[in-house]
Amino acid sequence: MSQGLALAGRSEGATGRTIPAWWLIFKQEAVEMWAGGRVLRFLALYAVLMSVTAYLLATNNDLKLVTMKASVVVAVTSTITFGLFIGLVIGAESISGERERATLEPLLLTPSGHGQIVLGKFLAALSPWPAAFLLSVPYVVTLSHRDPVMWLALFWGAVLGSLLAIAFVGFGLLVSIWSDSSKISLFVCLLVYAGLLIPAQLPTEFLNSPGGVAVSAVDPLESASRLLTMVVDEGRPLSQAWVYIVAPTVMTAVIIGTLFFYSARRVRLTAE
Amino acid sequence: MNDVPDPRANGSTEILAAEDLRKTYGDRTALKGLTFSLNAGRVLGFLGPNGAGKTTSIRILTTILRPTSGRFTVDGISSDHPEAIRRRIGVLPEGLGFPKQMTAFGYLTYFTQLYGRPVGEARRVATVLLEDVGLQNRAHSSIGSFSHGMRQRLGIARALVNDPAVVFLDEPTLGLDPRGQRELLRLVQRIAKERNKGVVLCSHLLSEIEGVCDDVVIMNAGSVVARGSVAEVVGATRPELDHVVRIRVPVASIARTQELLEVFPGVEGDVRSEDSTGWLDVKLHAANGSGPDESRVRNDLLESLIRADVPVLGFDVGGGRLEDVFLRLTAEAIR
Amino acid sequence: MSVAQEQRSGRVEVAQRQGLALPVWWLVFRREFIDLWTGGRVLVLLILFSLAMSVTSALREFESELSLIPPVEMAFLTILSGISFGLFIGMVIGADSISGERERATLEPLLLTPAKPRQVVFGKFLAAMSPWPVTFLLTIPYVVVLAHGDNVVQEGLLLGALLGGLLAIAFTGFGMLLSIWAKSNRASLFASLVVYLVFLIPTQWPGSAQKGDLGYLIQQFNPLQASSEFLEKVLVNNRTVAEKMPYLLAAVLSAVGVLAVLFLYAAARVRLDRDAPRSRPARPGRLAGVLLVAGATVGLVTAPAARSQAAPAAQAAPATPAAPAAQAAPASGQRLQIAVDLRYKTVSAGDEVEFNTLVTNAGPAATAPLNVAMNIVKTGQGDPVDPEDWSPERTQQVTSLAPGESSEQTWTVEAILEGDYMVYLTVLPKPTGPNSTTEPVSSPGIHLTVKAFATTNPGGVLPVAIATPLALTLIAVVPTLRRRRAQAETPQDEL
Repeated sequence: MSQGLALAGRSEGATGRTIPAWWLIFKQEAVEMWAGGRVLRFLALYAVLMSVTAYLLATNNDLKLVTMKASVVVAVTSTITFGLFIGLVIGAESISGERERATLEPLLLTPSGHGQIVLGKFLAALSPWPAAFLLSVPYVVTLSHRDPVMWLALFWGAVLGSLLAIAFVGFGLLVSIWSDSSKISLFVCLLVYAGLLIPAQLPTEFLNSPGGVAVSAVDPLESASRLLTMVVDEGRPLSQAWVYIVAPTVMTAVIIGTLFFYSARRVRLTAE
Repeated sequence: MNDVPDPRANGSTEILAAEDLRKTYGDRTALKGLTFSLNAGRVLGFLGPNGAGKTTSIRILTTILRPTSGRFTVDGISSDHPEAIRRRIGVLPEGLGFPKQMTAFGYLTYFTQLYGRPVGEARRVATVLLEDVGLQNRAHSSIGSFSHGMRQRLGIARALVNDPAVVFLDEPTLGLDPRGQRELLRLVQRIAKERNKGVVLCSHLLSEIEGVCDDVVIMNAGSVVARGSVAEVVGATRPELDHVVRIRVPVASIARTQELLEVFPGVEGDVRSEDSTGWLDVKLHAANGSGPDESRVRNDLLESLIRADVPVLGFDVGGGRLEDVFLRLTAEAIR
Repeated sequence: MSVAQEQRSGRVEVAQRQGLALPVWWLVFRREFIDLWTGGRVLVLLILFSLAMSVTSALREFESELSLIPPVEMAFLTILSGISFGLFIGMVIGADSISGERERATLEPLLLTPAKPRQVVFGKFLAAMSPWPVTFLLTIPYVVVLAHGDNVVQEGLLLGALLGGLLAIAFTGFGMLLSIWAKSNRASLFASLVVYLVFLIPTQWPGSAQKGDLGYLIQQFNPLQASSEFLEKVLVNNRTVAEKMPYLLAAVLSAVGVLAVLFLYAAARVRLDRDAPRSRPARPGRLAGVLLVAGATVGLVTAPAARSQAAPAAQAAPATPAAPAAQAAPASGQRLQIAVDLRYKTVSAGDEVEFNTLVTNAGPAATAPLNVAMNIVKTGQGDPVDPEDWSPERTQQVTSLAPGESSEQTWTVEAILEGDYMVYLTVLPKPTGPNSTTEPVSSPGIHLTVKAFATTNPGGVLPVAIATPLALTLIAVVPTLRRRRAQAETPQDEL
């Protein structure tokens, strides 16, 4: 007993680097998610969805129903839509799920600031996005028939997708912090996510009207889709489409600001 | 941490002190003024029925909850510095969950690192703590394969990774078999005595707590109903239970045993019996310096019953027991 | 009060003495129902739903004032939103119903009663279904308001209730299946969300991406999308229910299939402990599920090719020569005449067909401005085809023609779907005012025969489409196998 405690008691003068808590938590969560297979299962499903989408697009491209550039835009939009969903549900379960499994309290009892805990979990929940994006590359390359437009599509897909992934993961964590039940937090996140997909269902005539343009400019998912269409498919310069990058950027900034400057400090054992 | 004064530097051993802690939720008061202190090297028992406020108290003292009013200090650090306090405490919460996929070694290493230890040192601490709690053979097994008792031991090991000044254990023996309970309580004593730590132990197992705790706080409905060392609490609360022995005989033998006992020298007053269980309460005369001491009287009494062929099914020095004190105090409070 | 407690309550004992024991499924349903509704969680979700509906309805009403979306279409979208939300609630509650009780350690007392697990599952299923009718009722006022009194409301609500009910049964039951088989509540919830997404996402694809053989196949396979198509065609496009009955099939089959698997197979096999190490590598149910999914995927991918007839020949053979270039005889005896230069043609799906029309003013006076509109009808059942899908130009405008003057138009049609079609053009003089009308004139028909699109590897995407998910699936299996091996090797300690 005393030997172990003596070792534990050494603080000052200890050799070796102390690793920041956010990194430890990120590493632990990421290892659990990836080595445990959860993320890989999500990505496998994601790949199935992308395969079906790509096949459909390629068929329509051969049928001349849709142009090559339009099919590339749909593929990149699908990457973003499917890919950020993974981070959203992982983030939505990250705090409320730990509450349910009674594993949150030991974390809160460490001297680490709560912000570090949230940061570590945030980064872990974000980790599937780069993998999802990289997985989309072969589909985009194939659909574009290696046309140089694929670089433009991949670039904007990376920029917009990363912005939205950060926003959605952050939103998932926000909901999770304030929810006692992962069922509720998952549901709320999916409701918001589905709500943001609604404009895509609206008729084309409306989307091209002033009202539709306003809705597209405000809805970050629709904004991203619009920007990709204008820049990649229609070949317009960014100066004509810049307004559609505002919504994703603002949403990301607001969510991350709220998460790290307000909510993270208020993580409690029970959602009050 | 370095700028917080060490109270033990000037010889004080007070490791934990609470002053009038209160917690309200709306119009419901969960804690109505908790005041106590604990010295290093002692075990404090937090006792009380369900809903008494024990867990609320522990959560406040471990900085999980903020009190509505009142203050406390841990190792000289005031409650205004929760992060500093968390460096000096270890906690085993009730119903703690564990990540099933992690190994015990990985789990302890992880938490040791979270307390600021470099990875090499964290690994060494984890190895030795696992040995201390008897889990060295399962260090690299996943926690999901552990029994409940093993998880509790792992939880205690985790509470010790930072060599805390005060260790809080909330219902640590819940769900353990008698042997597991005994082993765990022995471990608790060693934590306090060998390393001069303060241990706060919440439990329902009064008979075991009595053997482990030095001090006790009995709570009921958010209020403290008794506080002090075990002997002080028992003596102050139920003086009339001093000098009482309890004897159990078959129900058919109650009447005869009563007759024998009531005329036995050293027995005071009538012998009360519980007809359904066969227990008899026998009050002995208080020792006054000139007669035989009480232990001698007890021995003689037992011998006389045996000689009279009374089947003695149980013999207990009753009254001076924490369980009786607890039941009486909490029943009174309920009434 | 738990089911076991209820069974001990005096009322039940009396009933039992009288031979009127309350059925277990009713006891379970009642308890779950009370828990769900008095706990407040469902009410919170319904409030959120109402808020979302109010926002989207306000949005749609705003659009309506711009006259951009007809009320009937808004009513359809609102009904669809209600259905999507309602079945999602049911699925989430179902996904929590068994695995959640397992984790909260309240399943054991239920399984220890003499009640058959099937009855327990049935009671929970009914309770999980209970939010659906309330969700649908909440949708009604929004539909009524947005429809602006259109007659479609009654039919729409009836069909919505029917379809939504079927889908709610299917998705709720599916959620419960996941809950029975999942190792943890988290896994069950995640899986149900992913499945919901898989069914929801195709509805997000742009309209043009949903066409073609594969697109139509996915529409019919996916109960959510099939139902959406069914409702849209019947409510918005005025098709009849009988016409679109095949789309209903997906919803019916999914409901029946899920119920069959749930109550005939899974419910009897509800287990307390999902963590016990397995002695067999795969359970029959799970293996069957994997085979089913694999088979469905293969079917989806290869169906277009399987349906092609003499594929290589069809692809290689040149299109049937078009009719002679001479103008087909114009419709005669009318002031306005329209002629086409194509009588019939056979092409493969994806080919373009070009033809010209000649509009002539054979009358004595100048014509009003003219619209020439394309019409395409599938000859089998006379189904009209939306020309928007087939041609970039649905109409062309012709300015007023002087007597004897002609105007030529060029048309391009992309044959996107296999089938037999008649294409004809109609000349529509513009009326002079609200109290006048004109007589449209139609051209002779162009008979278009479209052979199936017959390639299994469009754009060379098939290798990527198969290899990527397959590789990931194989990689994803590794941690699971490793964990199972570790579980089998590590001694499980007795409590």
